[in-house]
Amino acid sequence: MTDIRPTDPDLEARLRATLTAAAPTDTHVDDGLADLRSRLDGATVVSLRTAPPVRRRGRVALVAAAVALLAAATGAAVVVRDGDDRQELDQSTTTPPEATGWYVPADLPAGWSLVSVGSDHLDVEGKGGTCPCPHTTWSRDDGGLLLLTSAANEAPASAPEVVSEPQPVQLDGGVPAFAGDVFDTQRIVTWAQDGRHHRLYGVRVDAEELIRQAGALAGGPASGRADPATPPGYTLLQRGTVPGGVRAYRAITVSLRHETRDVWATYTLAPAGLGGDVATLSVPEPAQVAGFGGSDLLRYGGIEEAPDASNSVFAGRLPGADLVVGDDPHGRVGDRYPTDADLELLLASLRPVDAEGWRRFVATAAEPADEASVIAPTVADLITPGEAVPD
Amino acid sequence: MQRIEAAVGHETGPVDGGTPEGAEDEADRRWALLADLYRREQPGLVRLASLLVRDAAVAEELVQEAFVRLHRHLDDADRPGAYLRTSVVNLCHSHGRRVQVAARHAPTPAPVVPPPGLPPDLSPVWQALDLLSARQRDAVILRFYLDLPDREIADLLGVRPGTVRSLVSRALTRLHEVLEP
Repeated sequence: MTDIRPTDPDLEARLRATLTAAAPTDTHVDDGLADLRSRLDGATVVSLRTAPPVRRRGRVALVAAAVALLAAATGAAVVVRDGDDRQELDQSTTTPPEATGWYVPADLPAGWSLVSVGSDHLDVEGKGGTCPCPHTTWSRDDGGLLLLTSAANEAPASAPEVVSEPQPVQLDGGVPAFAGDVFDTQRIVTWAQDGRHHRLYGVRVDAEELIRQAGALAGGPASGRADPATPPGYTLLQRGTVPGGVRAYRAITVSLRHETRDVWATYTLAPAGLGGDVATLSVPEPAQVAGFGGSDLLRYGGIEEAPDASNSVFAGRLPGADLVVGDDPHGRVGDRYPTDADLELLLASLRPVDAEGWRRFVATAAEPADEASVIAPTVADLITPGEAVPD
Repeated sequence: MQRIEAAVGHETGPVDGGTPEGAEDEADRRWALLADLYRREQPGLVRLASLLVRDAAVAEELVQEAFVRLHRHLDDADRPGAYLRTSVVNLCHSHGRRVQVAARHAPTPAPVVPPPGLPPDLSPVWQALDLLSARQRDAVILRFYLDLPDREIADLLGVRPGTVRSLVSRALTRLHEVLEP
Protein backbone atom coordinates (compact mmCIF):
# COMPACT_ATOMS: atom_id res chain seq x y z
CA MET A 1 0.00 0.00 0.00
CA THR A 2 2.96 2.28 0.41
CA ASP A 3 3.98 4.18 -2.67
CA ILE A 4 7.64 5.02 -2.30
CA ARG A 5 9.08 7.46 -4.80
CA PRO A 6 12.70 7.27 -5.84
CA THR A 7 14.86 9.52 -3.73
CA ASP A 8 15.62 13.03 -4.94
CA PRO A 9 18.97 13.98 -3.38
CA ASP A 10 18.73 17.60 -4.43
CA LEU A 11 15.30 18.11 -2.91
CA GLU A 12 16.32 16.30 0.25
CA ALA A 13 19.44 18.45 0.54
CA ARG A 14 17.39 21.62 0.17
CA LEU A 15 14.98 20.35 2.79
CA ARG A 16 17.76 19.66 5.26
CA ALA A 17 19.32 23.07 4.62
CA THR A 18 15.98 24.83 5.03
CA LEU A 19 15.09 23.09 8.27
CA THR A 20 18.53 23.69 9.73
CA ALA A 21 18.49 27.38 8.78
CA ALA A 22 14.89 27.88 9.95
CA ALA A 23 15.46 26.53 13.46
CA PRO A 24 16.15 29.35 15.93
CA THR A 25 19.63 29.74 17.32
CA ASP A 26 18.72 31.59 20.51
CA THR A 27 16.17 29.60 22.52
CA HIS A 28 16.32 31.84 25.62
CA VAL A 29 17.52 29.11 27.94
CA ASP A 30 18.20 31.31 30.98
CA ASP A 31 14.94 33.19 30.60
CA GLY A 32 13.05 29.95 30.18
CA LEU A 33 14.69 28.33 33.17
CA ALA A 34 13.70 31.25 35.38
CA ASP A 35 10.16 31.03 34.06
CA LEU A 36 10.03 27.31 34.74
CA ARG A 37 11.20 27.83 38.31
CA SER A 38 8.56 30.46 38.79
CA ARG A 39 5.90 28.27 37.25
CA LEU A 40 6.72 25.30 39.44
CA ASP A 41 7.03 27.36 42.59
CA GLY A 42 3.65 28.86 41.90
CA ALA A 43 1.86 25.61 41.17
CA THR A 44 -1.06 26.12 43.47
CA VAL A 45 -4.30 24.21 43.59
CA VAL A 46 -6.83 26.16 41.59
CA SER A 47 -9.65 25.35 39.25
CA LEU A 48 -9.84 25.32 35.51
CA ARG A 49 -11.49 28.69 35.45
CA THR A 50 -8.78 30.28 37.51
CA ALA A 51 -6.04 29.24 35.16
CA PRO A 52 -4.79 32.45 33.60
CA PRO A 53 -3.17 32.39 30.20
CA VAL A 54 0.57 32.71 30.62
CA ARG A 55 2.02 35.53 28.61
CA ARG A 56 5.65 36.47 28.79
CA ARG A 57 7.37 39.12 26.80
CA GLY A 58 4.56 39.24 24.30
CA ARG A 59 4.62 35.54 23.57
CA VAL A 60 1.50 33.70 22.66
CA ALA A 61 0.08 32.12 25.75
CA LEU A 62 -0.79 28.56 25.09
CA VAL A 63 -0.99 26.12 27.79
CA ALA A 64 -1.64 28.23 30.87
CA ALA A 65 -1.32 26.31 34.04
CA ALA A 66 -1.99 22.71 33.14
CA VAL A 67 -0.95 21.98 36.68
CA ALA A 68 -3.88 24.04 37.81
CA LEU A 69 -6.38 21.63 36.37
CA LEU A 70 -5.79 18.84 38.73
CA ALA A 71 -7.45 19.67 41.93
CA ALA A 72 -10.91 20.91 41.41
CA ALA A 73 -12.56 17.84 39.95
CA THR A 74 -12.97 16.11 43.23
CA GLY A 75 -14.53 19.00 45.07
CA ALA A 76 -18.23 19.65 45.31
CA ALA A 77 -17.75 23.18 44.14
CA VAL A 78 -15.35 24.92 41.85
CA VAL A 79 -13.60 27.93 43.22
CA VAL A 80 -13.62 30.65 40.64
CA ARG A 81 -11.02 33.32 41.03
CA ASP A 82 -10.69 36.40 38.95
CA GLY A 83 -8.26 38.80 40.47
CA ASP A 84 -9.13 39.02 44.12
CA ASP A 85 -12.74 38.09 43.65
CA ARG A 86 -14.04 34.70 44.62
CA GLN A 87 -17.29 33.03 43.99
CA GLU A 88 -18.43 29.47 44.02
CA LEU A 89 -20.18 27.46 41.40
CA ASP A 90 -22.63 24.91 42.66
CA GLN A 91 -22.10 21.88 40.45
CA SER A 92 -25.16 20.20 41.83
CA THR A 93 -27.32 22.56 39.80
CA THR A 94 -29.11 20.53 37.18
CA THR A 95 -28.94 21.85 33.65
CA PRO A 96 -31.23 20.28 31.05
CA PRO A 97 -29.34 18.07 28.59
CA GLU A 98 -30.12 20.26 25.62
CA ALA A 99 -28.58 23.25 27.38
CA THR A 100 -25.33 21.78 28.65
CA GLY A 101 -23.57 21.61 25.31
CA TRP A 102 -22.38 18.08 26.16
CA TYR A 103 -23.03 15.46 23.50
CA VAL A 104 -22.29 11.76 23.40
CA PRO A 105 -22.51 9.34 20.48
CA ALA A 106 -25.43 6.95 20.58
CA ASP A 107 -26.07 4.04 18.25
CA LEU A 108 -22.59 3.96 16.81
CA PRO A 109 -22.02 0.92 14.62
CA ALA A 110 -20.24 -2.03 16.17
CA GLY A 111 -16.51 -1.75 16.32
CA TRP A 112 -16.22 1.84 17.53
CA SER A 113 -15.09 2.46 21.07
CA LEU A 114 -14.26 5.46 23.22
CA VAL A 115 -10.52 5.78 23.77
CA SER A 116 -9.99 9.15 25.40
CA VAL A 117 -11.42 12.53 26.30
CA GLY A 118 -8.94 15.38 26.42
CA SER A 119 -8.89 19.14 26.35
CA ASP A 120 -6.86 22.01 24.98
CA HIS A 121 -6.49 25.47 26.43
CA LEU A 122 -6.84 28.30 23.94
CA ASP A 123 -6.31 31.99 24.33
CA VAL A 124 -8.56 34.37 22.53
CA GLU A 125 -6.14 36.84 21.10
CA GLY A 126 -7.37 40.34 20.61
CA LYS A 127 -5.99 40.84 17.19
CA GLY A 128 -7.50 43.95 15.77
CA GLY A 129 -9.45 44.92 18.88
CA THR A 130 -11.99 43.49 21.26
CA CYS A 131 -15.01 41.30 20.78
CA PRO A 132 -17.90 40.66 20.24
CA CYS A 133 -16.47 40.12 16.77
CA PRO A 134 -18.89 39.37 13.96
CA HIS A 135 -17.56 37.34 11.06
CA THR A 136 -19.06 36.44 7.73
CA THR A 137 -17.85 34.00 5.11
CA TRP A 138 -18.85 33.99 1.46
CA SER A 139 -17.79 31.50 -1.18
CA ARG A 140 -17.65 31.60 -4.94
CA ASP A 141 -18.38 28.71 -7.27
CA ASP A 142 -14.82 28.67 -8.55
CA GLY A 143 -13.41 28.05 -5.07
CA GLY A 144 -12.82 31.65 -4.04
CA LEU A 145 -13.65 32.66 -0.50
CA LEU A 146 -14.10 35.95 1.36
CA LEU A 147 -13.95 36.24 5.13
CA LEU A 148 -14.93 39.51 6.79
CA THR A 149 -14.19 40.08 10.46
CA SER A 150 -14.41 43.12 12.67
CA ALA A 151 -13.47 44.04 16.22
CA ALA A 152 -13.97 47.16 18.31
CA ASN A 153 -10.91 49.39 18.09
CA GLU A 154 -10.77 53.17 18.21
CA ALA A 155 -7.19 53.36 16.96
CA PRO A 156 -6.43 54.30 13.35
CA ALA A 157 -6.05 51.48 10.87
CA SER A 158 -2.72 49.74 11.05
CA ALA A 159 -0.91 47.47 8.69
CA PRO A 160 -1.81 43.81 9.25
CA GLU A 161 0.95 42.07 11.12
CA VAL A 162 0.65 38.95 9.02
CA VAL A 163 1.73 40.71 5.84
CA SER A 164 5.41 41.20 5.23
CA GLU A 165 5.03 44.12 2.81
CA PRO A 166 1.69 45.86 3.42
CA GLN A 167 0.70 48.50 0.90
CA PRO A 168 -1.43 51.54 1.76
CA VAL A 169 -4.46 51.66 -0.52
CA GLN A 170 -7.50 53.86 -0.87
CA LEU A 171 -10.85 52.12 -0.87
CA ASP A 172 -13.91 53.46 -2.65
CA GLY A 173 -15.19 56.47 -0.80
CA GLY A 174 -11.71 57.49 0.26
CA VAL A 175 -11.38 55.06 3.15
CA PRO A 176 -7.67 54.48 3.84
CA ALA A 177 -6.65 50.84 4.12
CA PHE A 178 -3.73 48.44 4.00
CA ALA A 179 -3.48 45.48 1.67
CA GLY A 180 -1.05 42.66 1.21
CA ASP A 181 -0.51 38.99 0.55
CA VAL A 182 -0.51 36.54 3.42
CA PHE A 183 0.42 33.67 1.17
CA ASP A 184 0.22 32.80 -2.50
CA THR A 185 -3.49 32.14 -2.28
CA GLN A 186 -4.42 34.32 0.69
CA ARG A 187 -4.49 38.09 0.92
CA ILE A 188 -5.96 40.65 3.24
CA VAL A 189 -7.29 44.21 3.31
CA THR A 190 -7.74 46.07 6.61
CA TRP A 191 -9.38 49.38 7.39
CA ALA A 192 -10.80 51.30 10.35
CA GLN A 193 -14.36 52.57 10.34
CA ASP A 194 -17.01 53.41 12.90
CA GLY A 195 -14.79 52.58 15.84
CA ARG A 196 -13.97 49.14 14.52
CA HIS A 197 -11.13 47.49 12.64
CA HIS A 198 -12.34 45.47 9.68
CA ARG A 199 -10.39 42.75 7.92
CA LEU A 200 -11.36 41.18 4.65
CA TYR A 201 -9.47 38.00 3.81
CA GLY A 202 -9.49 36.52 0.36
CA VAL A 203 -8.62 32.94 -0.45
CA ARG A 204 -8.09 32.36 -4.15
CA VAL A 205 -9.33 35.89 -4.79
CA ASP A 206 -6.97 38.22 -6.64
CA ALA A 207 -5.77 41.47 -5.07
CA GLU A 208 -7.79 43.77 -7.32
CA GLU A 209 -10.99 41.90 -6.63
CA LEU A 210 -10.33 41.86 -2.89
CA ILE A 211 -9.74 45.63 -2.75
CA ARG A 212 -12.87 46.21 -4.83
CA GLN A 213 -14.95 44.06 -2.47
CA ALA A 214 -13.45 45.79 0.56
CA GLY A 215 -14.39 49.14 -0.96
CA ALA A 216 -17.93 47.98 -1.55
CA LEU A 217 -18.20 46.83 2.06
CA ALA A 218 -16.64 49.99 3.47
CA GLY A 219 -18.61 52.36 1.32
CA GLY A 220 -21.92 50.57 1.10
CA PRO A 221 -25.00 51.01 3.24
CA ALA A 222 -24.05 47.90 5.21
CA SER A 223 -20.82 49.49 6.40
CA GLY A 224 -20.17 48.55 9.99
CA ARG A 225 -23.15 46.22 10.22
CA ALA A 226 -22.85 42.67 11.46
CA ASP A 227 -24.86 41.38 8.52
CA PRO A 228 -23.44 42.96 5.38
CA ALA A 229 -25.05 42.06 2.09
CA THR A 230 -23.60 39.19 0.12
CA PRO A 231 -21.37 40.48 -2.68
CA PRO A 232 -22.59 39.73 -6.20
CA GLY A 233 -21.28 36.40 -7.43
CA TYR A 234 -20.80 35.02 -3.95
CA THR A 235 -22.92 32.84 -1.68
CA LEU A 236 -23.28 33.32 2.04
CA LEU A 237 -21.56 30.40 3.70
CA GLN A 238 -21.54 31.26 7.36
CA ARG A 239 -22.20 34.11 9.70
CA GLY A 240 -21.35 34.20 13.40
CA THR A 241 -19.97 36.20 16.26
CA VAL A 242 -17.05 35.51 18.53
CA PRO A 243 -18.44 36.45 21.95
CA GLY A 244 -16.95 39.20 24.04
CA GLY A 245 -15.62 38.89 27.54
CA VAL A 246 -13.64 35.73 26.77
CA ARG A 247 -9.99 35.63 27.66
CA ALA A 248 -9.47 31.94 27.05
CA TYR A 249 -11.41 28.72 26.77
CA ARG A 250 -11.01 24.99 26.60
CA ALA A 251 -12.06 22.73 23.78
CA ILE A 252 -12.88 19.12 24.62
CA THR A 253 -11.89 16.40 22.17
CA VAL A 254 -13.43 12.93 22.26
CA SER A 255 -11.39 10.27 20.46
CA LEU A 256 -12.97 7.11 19.11
CA ARG A 257 -11.30 4.18 17.42
CA HIS A 258 -12.64 1.45 15.20
CA GLU A 259 -10.80 -1.60 16.44
CA THR A 260 -10.86 -3.81 13.40
CA ARG A 261 -10.36 -1.15 10.75
CA ASP A 262 -7.82 0.78 12.84
CA VAL A 263 -9.45 4.12 12.10
CA TRP A 264 -9.56 7.06 14.49
CA ALA A 265 -12.30 9.67 14.54
CA THR A 266 -12.89 12.51 16.94
CA TYR A 267 -15.34 15.21 17.79
CA THR A 268 -14.47 18.44 19.55
CA LEU A 269 -16.87 20.55 21.61
CA ALA A 270 -16.13 24.21 22.34
CA PRO A 271 -18.15 27.04 23.83
CA ALA A 272 -20.64 28.49 21.37
CA GLY A 273 -19.06 30.95 18.98
CA LEU A 274 -15.52 29.88 19.71
CA GLY A 275 -14.84 26.58 18.07
CA GLY A 276 -16.91 25.86 15.00
CA ASP A 277 -14.38 26.60 12.33
CA VAL A 278 -11.32 24.93 11.00
CA ALA A 279 -8.46 25.97 8.81
CA THR A 280 -8.84 28.24 5.85
CA LEU A 281 -6.56 26.00 3.86
CA SER A 282 -9.54 24.54 2.06
CA VAL A 283 -12.73 26.28 1.08
CA PRO A 284 -15.65 24.63 2.84
CA GLU A 285 -19.00 23.69 1.40
CA PRO A 286 -22.36 23.42 3.14
CA ALA A 287 -23.17 19.87 4.20
CA GLN A 288 -26.40 18.05 4.97
CA VAL A 289 -26.26 15.03 7.24
CA ALA A 290 -29.49 13.25 8.09
CA GLY A 291 -29.93 13.00 11.83
CA PHE A 292 -27.51 15.79 12.72
CA GLY A 293 -29.13 17.82 15.46
CA GLY A 294 -27.29 21.07 14.82
CA SER A 295 -27.02 23.73 12.17
CA ASP A 296 -24.59 25.54 9.88
CA LEU A 297 -22.74 22.35 9.03
CA LEU A 298 -19.77 22.83 6.73
CA ARG A 299 -17.51 20.23 5.18
CA TYR A 300 -13.85 21.03 4.69
CA GLY A 301 -12.18 18.80 2.14
CA GLY A 302 -9.17 16.86 3.25
CA ILE A 303 -5.84 18.27 2.27
CA GLU A 304 -4.23 14.86 2.24
CA GLU A 305 -5.79 12.62 -0.34
CA ALA A 306 -6.13 8.95 0.31
CA PRO A 307 -7.68 6.35 -1.97
CA ASP A 308 -10.40 5.12 0.35
CA ALA A 309 -10.71 7.90 2.91
CA SER A 310 -11.78 11.48 2.51
CA ASN A 311 -9.93 12.97 5.48
CA SER A 312 -12.68 15.59 5.61
CA VAL A 313 -13.44 17.76 8.60
CA PHE A 314 -16.98 18.82 9.45
CA ALA A 315 -17.73 21.91 11.52
CA GLY A 316 -21.10 23.01 12.76
CA ARG A 317 -23.13 24.32 15.63
CA LEU A 318 -25.09 22.42 18.22
CA PRO A 319 -27.27 23.93 20.92
CA GLY A 320 -24.82 25.00 23.59
CA ALA A 321 -21.62 24.18 21.75
CA ASP A 322 -19.63 24.45 18.56
CA LEU A 323 -18.59 21.18 16.99
CA VAL A 324 -15.74 19.90 14.84
CA VAL A 325 -15.70 16.29 13.64
CA GLY A 326 -12.73 14.76 11.89
CA ASP A 327 -9.70 12.62 12.36
CA ASP A 328 -7.60 12.70 15.47
CA PRO A 329 -6.25 16.19 16.13
CA HIS A 330 -3.47 14.82 18.26
CA GLY A 331 -1.97 12.93 15.40
CA ARG A 332 -3.13 9.43 16.14
CA VAL A 333 -3.94 7.71 12.92
CA GLY A 334 -4.36 4.10 12.06
CA ASP A 335 -4.20 2.39 8.70
CA ARG A 336 -6.42 5.01 7.11
CA TYR A 337 -8.40 8.14 7.75
CA PRO A 338 -12.07 8.04 8.57
CA THR A 339 -14.36 8.20 5.58
CA ASP A 340 -17.11 10.77 5.14
CA ALA A 341 -19.53 7.97 5.94
CA ASP A 342 -17.77 7.36 9.26
CA LEU A 343 -17.93 11.03 10.16
CA GLU A 344 -21.54 11.41 9.05
CA LEU A 345 -22.53 8.47 11.24
CA LEU A 346 -20.77 10.14 14.15
CA LEU A 347 -22.47 13.47 13.44
CA ALA A 348 -25.87 11.81 13.31
CA SER A 349 -25.27 9.86 16.48
CA LEU A 350 -24.58 12.78 18.81
CA ARG A 351 -27.20 13.26 21.50
CA PRO A 352 -27.36 15.89 24.27
CA VAL A 353 -26.80 14.75 27.82
CA ASP A 354 -26.81 16.45 31.19
CA ALA A 355 -23.64 16.90 33.21
CA GLU A 356 -24.05 13.58 34.97
CA GLY A 357 -24.61 11.75 31.69
CA TRP A 358 -21.48 13.38 30.33
CA ARG A 359 -19.43 12.34 33.34
CA ARG A 360 -20.70 8.76 33.03
CA PHE A 361 -19.72 8.73 29.36
CA VAL A 362 -16.24 10.11 30.04
CA ALA A 363 -15.72 7.48 32.73
CA THR A 364 -16.00 4.75 30.09
CA ALA A 365 -12.95 5.96 28.19
CA ALA A 366 -10.16 3.42 27.88
CA GLU A 367 -7.53 5.99 28.80
CA PRO A 368 -7.46 8.21 31.88
CA ALA A 369 -9.82 11.07 31.33
CA ASP A 370 -8.73 14.65 31.29
CA GLU A 371 -10.17 16.08 34.46
CA ALA A 372 -10.98 19.37 32.76
CA SER A 373 -13.42 17.36 30.69
CA VAL A 374 -15.68 16.60 33.62
CA ILE A 375 -15.17 19.61 35.79
CA ALA A 376 -17.46 21.97 33.91
CA PRO A 377 -21.24 21.58 34.31
CA THR A 378 -21.72 22.93 30.80
CA VAL A 379 -19.53 23.60 27.80
CA ALA A 380 -20.07 27.31 28.34
CA ASP A 381 -18.28 26.90 31.67
CA LEU A 382 -15.10 26.09 29.77
CA ILE A 383 -14.67 29.81 29.23
CA THR A 384 -12.18 31.84 31.24
CA PRO A 385 -13.80 35.26 31.37
CA GLY A 386 -11.86 38.43 30.81
CA GLU A 387 -10.54 40.53 28.01
CA ALA A 388 -8.77 38.94 25.10
CA VAL A 389 -5.01 39.06 25.25
CA PRO A 390 -3.96 41.95 23.02
CA ASP A 391 -1.74 40.89 20.21
CA MET B 1 6.29 1.49 21.73
CA GLN B 2 6.86 4.30 24.10
CA ARG B 3 3.58 6.12 24.21
CA ILE B 4 3.19 8.93 26.66
CA GLU B 5 -0.21 10.52 26.47
CA ALA B 6 0.88 14.06 26.55
CA ALA B 7 -2.12 15.64 24.92
CA VAL B 8 -3.16 18.43 27.21
CA GLY B 9 -4.65 17.17 30.38
CA HIS B 10 -4.28 13.47 29.74
CA GLU B 11 -1.96 13.07 32.63
CA THR B 12 -3.20 12.97 36.14
CA GLY B 13 -1.44 13.05 39.43
CA PRO B 14 -0.83 15.24 42.39
CA VAL B 15 0.30 18.78 41.86
CA ASP B 16 3.90 18.78 42.91
CA GLY B 17 4.86 22.37 42.84
CA GLY B 18 4.76 22.99 46.55
CA THR B 19 7.47 22.08 49.00
CA PRO B 20 6.17 20.13 51.95
CA GLU B 21 7.79 20.99 55.23
CA GLY B 22 10.90 18.92 55.86
CA ALA B 23 11.35 18.02 52.22
CA GLU B 24 13.32 21.00 51.06
CA ASP B 25 16.43 18.96 50.29
CA GLU B 26 14.38 16.64 48.14
CA ALA B 27 12.82 19.57 46.34
CA ASP B 28 16.26 21.08 45.77
CA ARG B 29 17.52 17.77 44.38
CA ARG B 30 14.60 17.52 41.98
CA TRP B 31 15.07 21.08 40.84
CA ALA B 32 18.79 20.57 40.26
CA LEU B 33 18.03 17.49 38.15
CA LEU B 34 15.41 19.34 36.17
CA ALA B 35 17.56 22.44 35.66
CA ASP B 36 20.45 20.34 34.41
CA LEU B 37 18.16 18.54 32.02
CA TYR B 38 16.67 21.83 30.91
CA ARG B 39 20.02 23.31 30.00
CA ARG B 40 20.88 20.21 28.02
CA GLU B 41 17.61 19.51 26.25
CA GLN B 42 15.75 22.80 25.91
CA PRO B 43 17.65 24.22 22.91
CA GLY B 44 17.15 21.14 20.77
CA LEU B 45 13.54 20.75 21.81
CA VAL B 46 12.72 24.38 21.03
CA ARG B 47 14.36 24.07 17.63
CA LEU B 48 12.38 20.94 16.86
CA ALA B 49 9.13 22.44 18.14
CA SER B 50 9.69 25.67 16.22
CA LEU B 51 9.84 23.66 13.02
CA LEU B 52 6.78 21.61 13.91
CA VAL B 53 4.60 24.58 14.86
CA ARG B 54 6.43 27.11 12.66
CA ASP B 55 6.61 29.69 15.42
CA ALA B 56 9.59 30.05 17.76
CA ALA B 57 7.68 31.78 20.57
CA VAL B 58 4.95 29.15 20.57
CA ALA B 59 7.65 26.49 20.51
CA GLU B 60 9.23 27.91 23.66
CA GLU B 61 5.88 27.81 25.45
CA LEU B 62 5.22 24.22 24.44
CA VAL B 63 8.65 23.13 25.62
CA GLN B 64 8.00 24.87 28.95
CA GLU B 65 4.83 22.84 29.27
CA ALA B 66 6.71 19.64 28.51
CA PHE B 67 9.13 20.37 31.35
CA VAL B 68 6.25 21.13 33.73
CA ARG B 69 4.86 17.71 32.90
CA LEU B 70 8.22 16.04 33.28
CA HIS B 71 8.56 17.59 36.71
CA ARG B 72 5.51 15.65 37.81
CA HIS B 73 7.04 12.39 36.58
CA LEU B 74 10.69 13.09 37.17
CA ASP B 75 11.19 10.11 39.42
CA ASP B 76 9.35 7.74 37.07
CA ALA B 77 10.92 8.70 33.77
CA ASP B 78 13.69 6.27 32.89
CA ARG B 79 14.60 8.24 29.78
CA PRO B 80 13.65 11.83 30.47
CA GLY B 81 15.06 13.02 27.15
CA ALA B 82 12.83 10.62 25.24
CA TYR B 83 9.88 11.54 27.45
CA LEU B 84 10.44 15.19 26.68
CA ARG B 85 10.71 14.68 22.95
CA THR B 86 7.53 12.62 22.85
CA SER B 87 5.78 15.16 24.99
CA VAL B 88 6.86 18.06 22.79
CA VAL B 89 5.81 16.31 19.58
CA ASN B 90 2.39 15.53 21.06
CA LEU B 91 1.96 19.07 22.32
CA CYS B 92 2.86 20.37 18.88
CA HIS B 93 0.21 18.10 17.33
CA SER B 94 -2.35 19.33 19.76
CA HIS B 95 -1.43 22.92 19.18
CA GLY B 96 -1.50 22.51 15.42
CA ARG B 97 -5.06 21.37 15.27
CA ARG B 98 -6.21 23.91 17.77
CA VAL B 99 -4.60 26.61 15.70
CA GLN B 100 -6.64 25.39 12.78
CA VAL B 101 -9.80 25.47 14.82
CA ALA B 102 -9.07 28.94 16.13
CA ALA B 103 -7.63 30.36 12.95
CA ARG B 104 -10.66 32.23 11.83
CA HIS B 105 -11.53 33.44 15.28
CA ALA B 106 -8.12 34.97 15.87
CA PRO B 107 -9.08 36.17 13.25
CA THR B 108 -6.02 35.65 11.15
CA PRO B 109 -5.15 32.82 8.82
CA ALA B 110 -1.82 31.43 9.85
CA PRO B 111 0.81 33.45 8.04
CA VAL B 112 3.69 31.76 6.33
CA VAL B 113 6.45 34.11 7.31
CA PRO B 114 9.97 32.91 6.68
CA PRO B 115 11.94 32.73 9.92
CA PRO B 116 14.65 35.32 10.44
CA GLY B 117 17.92 34.28 8.98
CA LEU B 118 16.48 31.95 6.40
CA PRO B 119 18.36 32.54 3.14
CA PRO B 120 16.03 33.84 0.42
CA ASP B 121 16.77 30.92 -1.87
CA LEU B 122 15.41 28.55 0.80
CA SER B 123 12.26 30.54 1.46
CA PRO B 124 10.26 28.72 -1.25
CA VAL B 125 11.01 25.42 0.46
CA TRP B 126 9.79 26.80 3.78
CA GLN B 127 6.59 28.07 2.16
CA ALA B 128 6.07 24.81 0.33
CA LEU B 129 6.20 22.92 3.61
CA ASP B 130 3.04 24.75 4.56
CA LEU B 131 1.21 23.02 1.75
CA LEU B 132 1.74 19.64 3.35
CA SER B 133 -0.67 18.15 5.82
CA ALA B 134 0.44 18.47 9.41
CA ARG B 135 1.31 14.80 9.60
CA GLN B 136 3.27 14.87 6.38
CA ARG B 137 5.21 17.90 7.55
CA ASP B 138 5.92 16.35 10.94
CA ALA B 139 7.20 13.20 9.32
CA VAL B 140 9.44 15.19 6.99
CA ILE B 141 10.86 17.25 9.85
CA LEU B 142 11.57 14.22 11.97
CA ARG B 143 13.18 12.48 9.02
CA PHE B 144 15.22 15.30 7.50
CA TYR B 145 15.94 17.49 10.53
CA LEU B 146 16.45 14.89 13.24
CA ASP B 147 17.40 12.08 10.87
CA LEU B 148 15.28 9.65 12.81
CA PRO B 149 14.60 6.18 11.47
CA ASP B 150 11.05 5.16 10.52
CA ARG B 151 10.57 3.20 13.73
CA GLU B 152 11.28 6.17 15.98
CA ILE B 153 9.22 8.52 13.85
CA ALA B 154 6.37 6.03 13.99
CA ASP B 155 6.58 5.90 17.77
CA LEU B 156 6.60 9.67 18.05
CA LEU B 157 3.66 10.14 15.70
CA GLY B 158 1.71 7.17 17.00
CA VAL B 159 1.55 5.49 13.59
CA ARG B 160 3.01 2.44 11.93
CA PRO B 161 6.39 2.56 10.19
CA GLY B 162 4.67 1.90 6.88
CA THR B 163 2.54 4.95 7.43
CA VAL B 164 5.67 7.01 8.05
CA ARG B 165 7.12 5.88 4.73
CA SER B 166 3.87 6.74 3.03
CA LEU B 167 3.68 10.16 4.67
CA VAL B 168 7.26 11.04 3.71
CA SER B 169 6.81 9.74 0.20
CA ARG B 170 3.65 11.73 -0.39
CA ALA B 171 5.25 14.80 1.12
CA LEU B 172 8.26 14.58 -1.15
CA THR B 173 6.02 14.09 -4.14
CA ARG B 174 4.05 17.18 -3.23
CA LEU B 175 7.18 19.25 -2.59
CA HIS B 176 8.63 18.13 -5.88
CA GLU B 177 5.46 19.20 -7.68
CA VAL B 178 5.50 22.61 -6.04
CA LEU B 179 9.20 23.38 -6.18
CA GLU B 180 10.17 21.77 -9.43
CA PRO B 181 7.05 21.74 -11.58
